[in-house]
Amino acid sequence: MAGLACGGVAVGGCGGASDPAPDAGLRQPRTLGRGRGRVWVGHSGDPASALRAAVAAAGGLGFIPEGGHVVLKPNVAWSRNPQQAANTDPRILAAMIALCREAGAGKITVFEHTIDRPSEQVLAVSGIAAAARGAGADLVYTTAERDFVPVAVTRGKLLTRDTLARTVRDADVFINMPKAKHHSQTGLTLGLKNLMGVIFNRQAWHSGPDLHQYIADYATAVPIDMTVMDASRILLTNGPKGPGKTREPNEVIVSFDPVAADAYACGLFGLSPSDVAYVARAGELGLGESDPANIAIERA
Amino acid sequence: MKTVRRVSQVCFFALFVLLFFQTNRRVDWASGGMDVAAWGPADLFLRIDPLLGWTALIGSGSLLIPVLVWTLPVVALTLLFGRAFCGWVCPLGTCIDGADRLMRRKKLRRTDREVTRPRLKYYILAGLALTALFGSQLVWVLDPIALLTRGLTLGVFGPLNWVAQAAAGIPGLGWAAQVGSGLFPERPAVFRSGALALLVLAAILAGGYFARRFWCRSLCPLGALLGLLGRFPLFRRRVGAACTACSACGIDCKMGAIGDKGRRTVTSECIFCYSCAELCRQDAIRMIAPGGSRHSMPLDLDRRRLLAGFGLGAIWGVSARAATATRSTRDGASHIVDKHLIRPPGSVAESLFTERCARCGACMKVCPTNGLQPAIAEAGLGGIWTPVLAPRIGECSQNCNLCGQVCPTDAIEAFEIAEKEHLYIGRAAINRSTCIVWESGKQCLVCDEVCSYSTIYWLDEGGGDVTHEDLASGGEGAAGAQALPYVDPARCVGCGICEYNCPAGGPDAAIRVTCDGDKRHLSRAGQKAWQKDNWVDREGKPEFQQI
Repeated sequence: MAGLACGGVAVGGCGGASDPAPDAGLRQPRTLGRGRGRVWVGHSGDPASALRAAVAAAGGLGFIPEGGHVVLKPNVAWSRNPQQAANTDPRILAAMIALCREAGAGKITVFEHTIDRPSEQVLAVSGIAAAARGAGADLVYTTAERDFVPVAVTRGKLLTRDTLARTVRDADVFINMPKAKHHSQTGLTLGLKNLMGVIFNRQAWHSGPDLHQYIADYATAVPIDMTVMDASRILLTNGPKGPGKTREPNEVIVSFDPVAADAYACGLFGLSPSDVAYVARAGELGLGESDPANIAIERA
Repeated sequence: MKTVRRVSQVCFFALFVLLFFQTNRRVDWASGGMDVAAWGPADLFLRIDPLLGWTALIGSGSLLIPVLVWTLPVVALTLLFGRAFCGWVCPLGTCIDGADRLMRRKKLRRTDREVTRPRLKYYILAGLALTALFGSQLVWVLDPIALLTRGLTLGVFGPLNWVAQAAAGIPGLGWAAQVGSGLFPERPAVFRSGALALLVLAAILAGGYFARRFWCRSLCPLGALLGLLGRFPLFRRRVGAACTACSACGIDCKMGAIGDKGRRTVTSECIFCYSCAELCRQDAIRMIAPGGSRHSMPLDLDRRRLLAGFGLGAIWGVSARAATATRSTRDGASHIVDKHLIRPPGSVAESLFTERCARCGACMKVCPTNGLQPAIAEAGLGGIWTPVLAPRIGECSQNCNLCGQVCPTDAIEAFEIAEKEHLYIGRAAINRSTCIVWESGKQCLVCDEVCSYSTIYWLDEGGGDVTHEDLASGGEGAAGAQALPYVDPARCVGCGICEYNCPAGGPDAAIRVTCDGDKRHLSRAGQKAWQKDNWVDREGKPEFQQI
C-alpha cells in the first residue's frame, strides 16, 4: 500500500527518500505508425490457429530484432482456470511464444503482476505457467516495488508520471496480450486496461479523479509494439474476475494500433467505444483510431 | 559417547530447522493446487511431544488415539532411558546447550552444587494440568517445542526474510533472491509484535547465565512430565565400585542430577549427556546399565507446593473460563470479543479454538498472503499468539487451504477449497464516511472487482437495482456515479480481499471485515444451510450451489 493517496496527479511510486527522476527516455514502438486503424482477426475453434492466421495476415513478426528480448504481457490477474475466461488463454500464449521464437527472438519473458495471491498459484491455475515454461519462456511475476521504475507521462491530460515494470522498460519488444472481457467498473477490460498490470500501484488510479483518463494517458507512455487480444472465449458478466457467463467468438485480434484493437473488441460485446470511455479518450489523445467506422478489419 | 550425543542433537536440530523452512506452500504448477512442502509431517516435533498431546486429550475430554500413537516413541524412549529426549533430541535443549557454551564463565558457578533439587517445574506441570482440565490451555506457552517454533516463526523468520530480500538487491547477490523465493513468501513476512515471542526465547536462553540448562532443570514442564515418566527407567546411570567419591561428576553435572558424592542419581533429571562418564578418572560410571533402585535418589516433591501448583492452576482455569462475556443472540450465544478477532477458515468454535491452538505459528508461517497474524490483545491474555486474520495486511486467498493442512492440533480443521464459500469467518462492512463512493460520489469499484465470491451489489439512491452495465458508462455525472455498494451477507465469508485492496481509509480501510457474521458455532452443514436460507439471487451473479 505504499504510495497510496499521494495526492495530485503524480500517482504511483512516489514514496521514499530516493525518488529518481522519471525515465523520460522510453523508446518509441518499433511499429509506430504502421497499420493505424487496422486490425487483423483470426477465427478458429483452435485459438493457436486463429493467432497464427492473424499474425501471418498482419505481416508476421519481422519487427523483432534477431536475438532480441521479447516481453509478453498476458492478462493473468486472477486465480481462475481457462474455462472461466478471466485470463488470457494459455494456448494463445504458448503459440505466441513459438511464433516469436520462429521470428528470431532470443530471450522471451512472460510478465505479470497478479492481483490474486499467491502469484504462483494464479499462474498455475490459469495454465499460464505451464504454457510459458513448456514453450521455453521465462516467467517473471512480481509484487515488489523495487521491480518498478518511475516513468514520465508527457502526452496525457491528467497523469504526468507513474511507474513501469523494469522488465517491460528494458525489453526490446513489448507485446500486449489482453483478454477481452466484461469489467464492472470500466465496462470492458481490453488492451489499454491490461497495461494496469505493468504499474506498481493500481489502487491509486481507482481513487484518482478519472480512471478512464488515467488509462488513456498511461497508454501513451508505454511502447506497445503489438497487441494480441484473446477473444476466443470472452467473459460477459461479473467481470473482471467472474465467474460469469461466457461466449465463444473464437477470435484472436492482432493489431499495431492498440486503440483500434480495443475499439473493434467493443463490438464483440455489443458495445461501442463511446460506451467504454477510456477507448474514446485514447483516440482523442492521438494514440490510435477509436472510431469503428474508420477501422479496417481484415479477417484471416 | 558425548560426541555421538552432540551429533544426535545436531541432526535433530537440523531436522527441526528443515521442517521449519519446509512449512511453506508448494504450488503444483500443473493444477494450481497447494500443499505444504515438507517431506513428512511439518509438525513432526509437535506431534511427538507428549505434553502437548496429552494435555490436548485432557482438554478435549476424549481419547484421541491418533494423537496418543504419535507420542508413543518418546514415551518408549523415556521408559527405557529416562530423559534422554532432553539430552539427545529436544531442539530447545540443543539451543540451550549452545547458548550455555557461549555464556560459559571461567569460575564454577555457585549453583552447580551437587544436587539442585529443581522441583519448580513439577509444580508448574501440576498447574498446567489443572488449567488443561478447565479448558484454558497454558501449556502452549511453556511447552519447549511450541515455544521454539513460535519464537522462530514470529521473531526470526520475518527478519531473516527481510535480510534475504535486501541482499537480493545488492549487485552480485541476486542468487539470494533465488534461494529466498523457495524459502520465503513473495513479500517479506511481517508478524506484528513478533519480537515478543523472540524475547521469551531469549529470556530462556539467558537463563544460562545463572546455571547450565536452567530452563530444563527448573522450568520446563515437558521435562517434568518426562521426568515423572522416566523415574524408573530400564537403563540408568550406575556407578561401580571403582568410585572414590571425589564428587567431580556431581559438581560437573549440568542437570544437577548427581548426589551422594557422585554415587547416586536423581533419575528423573538425568538426560544421558555422558559428561560424567567421560569425566570420571576411575571410569567407574556406566550409563547404559540395567537399573536398580539403590543407584537412584528419590524425587522428593514437596506436597504443599504441589498442592499450591494445582490450586493456582485451578484458579487460573476457572477465572479464565469465566472471563469471556457472552450474550445471547438469535443465532445462539455469542462471545463478546474484539471485533478484529477473525479466525482462519475451518477453525473450530472460539472456546474450543483457544483450547486446541498450540500457538505454534505454523499457520501464520504458511499463509501465502501473510494475512494470519499473532493475536496480542484481540483474544485476551490467554489467547496471545493465536492466529487472527488481518486482511489489511493480507487477505485469505480464495484457492488456499494451507492453514487447515498444517495445524497440528486441529484448532483449524482441514477443509476443502470448495467449502470455503460457506465457512463464515466474518463479514465485510462498508464505512460510508470513508468509502469514496458513498462519501464523494466517485466511481470506485475495487471491492467489487476483487471480490472472489461476488458479494458486492449496487443500488441507486432510491434503492433500485443497478446492474454492471449501468455502472460502466464512466465519467462524471453519469448514472453510474450515484450507484452505491452494499455487502451481501450470505455471500460474504470475510476473506478480506476487499479490505486488502481498498484504496481508501489508510490503515482502517473503507471496507473492512469484522467478526460479525462468524458462524463457527454452527457445523459446516449448518453454515451451508444458513447460506441457503439467506441467499438472495441477484442478476449477473452466480446462483446458489448446493455443494
